[in-house]
Amino acid sequence: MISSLSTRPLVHGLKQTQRFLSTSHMLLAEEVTESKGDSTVTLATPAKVLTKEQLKKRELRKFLKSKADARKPATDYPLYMDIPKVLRYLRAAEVGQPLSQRTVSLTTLVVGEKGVPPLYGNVSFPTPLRKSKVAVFSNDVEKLEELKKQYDLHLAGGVEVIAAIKDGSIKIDFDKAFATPDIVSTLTAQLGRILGPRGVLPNVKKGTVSDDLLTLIRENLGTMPFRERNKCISIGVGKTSFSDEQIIQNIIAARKAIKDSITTQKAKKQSMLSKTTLTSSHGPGLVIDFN
Amino acid sequence: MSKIVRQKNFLNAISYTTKKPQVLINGSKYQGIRLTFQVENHSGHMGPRMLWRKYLPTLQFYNPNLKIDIIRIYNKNKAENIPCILEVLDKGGNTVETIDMKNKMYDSIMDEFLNKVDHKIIPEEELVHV
Repeated sequence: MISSLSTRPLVHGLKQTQRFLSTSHMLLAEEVTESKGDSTVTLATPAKVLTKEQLKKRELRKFLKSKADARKPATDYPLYMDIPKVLRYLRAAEVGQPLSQRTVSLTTLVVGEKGVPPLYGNVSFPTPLRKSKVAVFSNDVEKLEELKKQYDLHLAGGVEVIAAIKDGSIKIDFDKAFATPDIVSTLTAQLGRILGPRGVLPNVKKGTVSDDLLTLIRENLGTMPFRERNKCISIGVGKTSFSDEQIIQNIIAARKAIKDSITTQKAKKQSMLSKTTLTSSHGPGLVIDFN
Repeated sequence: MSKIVRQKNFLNAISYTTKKPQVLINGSKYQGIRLTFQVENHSGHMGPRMLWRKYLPTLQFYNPNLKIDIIRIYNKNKAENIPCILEVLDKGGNTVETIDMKNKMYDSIMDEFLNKVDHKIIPEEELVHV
């Protein structure tokens, strides 16, 4: 009787170790068991590391799969719907939300080769979501006055405005910026680091610098810029309060702009558009036919 | 559960599986409904919030022209009395029916709403199923 009692804690202790070992088996990738006398010690080794070649192969496989998916018609996706039905679901999902939050947006995946420059461009919507805010930089005061008379500009000025943006007294809340060639060098030097990453730095390459600002603004006022980020393009195409027709017209305009940006892309092999979804601020993302 | 099954369930909850609000409200009589309640749950304001989350998407799905307005008021003070009402508006925008939603479950609010409003239940074959 006494002997059985004395062995109990030992048996109990062993059971505990066994239980610990059995749970650890589930969690670790590989396990090495070493025996040291009576006790058993379990050591974990890191999961198998892939070689460079294996990683390359895996990347290639992923790329080929995404390319094959891009060639598939949208109707192959299990929850494909036509646009009016999608909008009906989105409007139902957005019920009771504040008007400012009921934005319908279009997201399309872009499949492109490595090193291909990202797609960017401007969409001009038949029914714009909101007025785009425009900033104009110039040293020519007369020209600025003339522009202010013709257009509702959000911000206009010369060196003093640049200094104000730099010290933070003027917020950067505009969507587009234009400039005359005489101020570009100061603008790039002073604000290149601030405006550049936001995509609102006027430069000759983008076509946002010109002596004739009147025509430039007229061509660009009703447009919204878009840019490929993380292999996808996302554009707001309407509010749930818009009619089906207005949203479809906006989607067609967005498609035209994206296709134009693909044709003007400077690359040997041009990018392809893959799965396209229509979604809203609080609603689900539903696949539509975009091609 | 896969991503697609999850989304299918979400869409069917809007258009198929939620049975009570699958009604067609007489569009020639009513313009819309307006709900006023608190953001916080205290003082019996949980029912309308659940009604909004569970039943109103389906009601909007089958009545696309019905205007549904929700006014939510922030109130941390439990002593203050915030209205908790559902108003039914006629074509001119005047209130024709008012339902007090305080201390009521979303199910009973919906029953009361359907009792007071002229409507037609949508037959099973006309329901949208994904």
